[in-house]
Amino acid sequence: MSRFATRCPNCGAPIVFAWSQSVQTVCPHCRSLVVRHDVDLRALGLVAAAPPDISPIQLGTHGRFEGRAFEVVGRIAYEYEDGGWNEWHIVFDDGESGWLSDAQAEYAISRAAQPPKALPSRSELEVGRRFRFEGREYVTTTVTWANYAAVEGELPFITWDRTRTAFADLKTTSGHFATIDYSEDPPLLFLGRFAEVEELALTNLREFPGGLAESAVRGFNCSACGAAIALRAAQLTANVACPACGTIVSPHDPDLRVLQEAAARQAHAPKIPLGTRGTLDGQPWEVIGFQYRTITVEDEVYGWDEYLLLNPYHGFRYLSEYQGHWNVIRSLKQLPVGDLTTTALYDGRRFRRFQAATATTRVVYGEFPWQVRAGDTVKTTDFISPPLMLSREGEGTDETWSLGAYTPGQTIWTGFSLPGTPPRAIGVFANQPSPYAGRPRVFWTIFALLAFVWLALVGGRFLLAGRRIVFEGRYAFTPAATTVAPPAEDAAAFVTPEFEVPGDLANLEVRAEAPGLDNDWLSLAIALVNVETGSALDSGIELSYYAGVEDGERWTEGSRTASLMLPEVPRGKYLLRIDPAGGVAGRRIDYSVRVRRDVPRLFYPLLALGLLAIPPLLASRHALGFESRRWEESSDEDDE
Amino acid sequence: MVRSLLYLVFGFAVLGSMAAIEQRGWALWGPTRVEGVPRTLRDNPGAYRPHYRSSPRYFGGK
Repeated sequence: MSRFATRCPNCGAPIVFAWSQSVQTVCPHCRSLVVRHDVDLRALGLVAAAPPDISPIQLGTHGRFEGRAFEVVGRIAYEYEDGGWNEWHIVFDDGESGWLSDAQAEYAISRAAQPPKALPSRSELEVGRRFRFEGREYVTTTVTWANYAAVEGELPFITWDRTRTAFADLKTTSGHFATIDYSEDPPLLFLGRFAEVEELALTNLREFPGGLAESAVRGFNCSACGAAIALRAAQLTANVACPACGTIVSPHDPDLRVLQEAAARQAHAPKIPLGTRGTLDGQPWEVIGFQYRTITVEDEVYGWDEYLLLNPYHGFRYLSEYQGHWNVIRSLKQLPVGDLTTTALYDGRRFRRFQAATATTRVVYGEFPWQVRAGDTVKTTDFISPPLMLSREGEGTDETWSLGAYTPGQTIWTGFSLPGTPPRAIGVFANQPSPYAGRPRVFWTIFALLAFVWLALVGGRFLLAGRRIVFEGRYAFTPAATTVAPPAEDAAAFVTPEFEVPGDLANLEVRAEAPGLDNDWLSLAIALVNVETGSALDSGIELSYYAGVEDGERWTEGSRTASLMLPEVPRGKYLLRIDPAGGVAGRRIDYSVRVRRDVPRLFYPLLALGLLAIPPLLASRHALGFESRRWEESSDEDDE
Repeated sequence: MVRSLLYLVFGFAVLGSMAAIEQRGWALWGPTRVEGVPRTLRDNPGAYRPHYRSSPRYFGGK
């Protein structure tokens, strides 16, 4: 970058133009506005000193953006009703100039662009109006009336006029932004993109060695109670609420005009005192503001605390706390997409609408970059995708979006070195991550895997089981006619011939069949006796079969076959002792008995599947229970 | 992760147990095991008093 050195026409101090196309600069010694006409310089007069601020950027700051190095060579400080922002004039190493916007520590790089067609006049421009520039769709989000508050360094045009003019901010869903500047006719268009401070790799920044409190540019006394008020966020502060009495005053008014008397008794004390410094996400933050807000749902009032945190390099963060549940919240530069009624899409995540309500600010302490009063109301809509929550405040033409991340109370307590322990979390919060999230899916996947293995094994077992017939016999039984004296017990008992049971320890199936059984029953008391050891397994089989016609419909009941499974039968010589009993006296029942070795069973494979399903079923139940408790807290005033 | 691992271990334990049960023909419940059946059983089946007794009864019918 070629530099042009000369002397101030007013005081003679050396002046260096870092950018060859600079039209004006401000003498760093006498604050004369020096206008350049080729090599001639003319001092137009003295300019006001830049308002105090906490911007970390200064003339001479270096950075990088999209692969190009730049240097900050000038600055325009704008002021508007609620505060101010900086437009830093930057010059890239290839000679192109651009602007680094620093609005409440939200950074964006832009350059002048040629609109594809004439831009609308100020009176025609409305919030919400859409434009298409360079292939991207922009939506107008705010229109701000502002004027130059001060200038520093080199600028590509002459700034002297302090007339209030309109600036329209436009955003896209991809993090790009545009500004329509109505300070000239036709209006100017600037296109750019938001950038995080880390991305800009800024060097030669201002330092805040003592923290914000010590660098506070002003301290004053409350107009109402006289308590000391430290102004930490300088020109970013739109109003400040006295931490002692809650009276809201305008810090930019020389008379410290009272904007709002203290609201009744502000008995709601913040859990984190104003001025507390701490660390969140690896960055230092200072608590500069606090408000207590409420919503009313079905006549129940729900209130939460909201802390405003400031880091001069990273801007503002908000910390909300409701019944021990904490969220770290940041404003969004990129607009969510979707229908924004039931769902919102942001950064690849789908958020479900959780709640819509009207929030009322009840208590205010400290500084805020926007106008805030006790009693302010705003419509809020929350969309959740745990552990994140998208919140929209306001509606239609004046809405802002923020993104909250659920944060454990202990993280807050540790980060801010607070004494004691954080308040216990009560209930389930909207975006609280479920401790069961994902577990049912993992468990059911494991279940499917195990079931597949098991079914393959069981299938193999059913295919390969021996089912070898080791005994078969046919018998007949005629129940005795009823006499005065009942027949002796076991009178019909008999034993079968011995048979060999081969193989290792396995089961034996005894199956009885009586094909001619008709409206009768047969009971067989069966003992499998090991003739070598004298041990026996006692059991029985019962057959019954009934049929008939009732109301013209035929019915049957029971079965003519039944089986019995004898477990853990070792190899050896066996016989069966069979003791039959029957129903209809005098009617002969023909039946057969068959014994098979190694017959697969279905009960235990099914029992195994049942046991395997218990953990995933419990996990699903817990997960559903947690979600049910979460959505119990959902309310929607639109649905009322 | 730990829970998934525990479930996997539990799952394989269940399957291993059930496979062994099925292989050995073991049953949770079943017939009564009796020792010392008399050798005269073959000649006098009525002499053995099994634990399982059936009693004549009417089983069904509408």
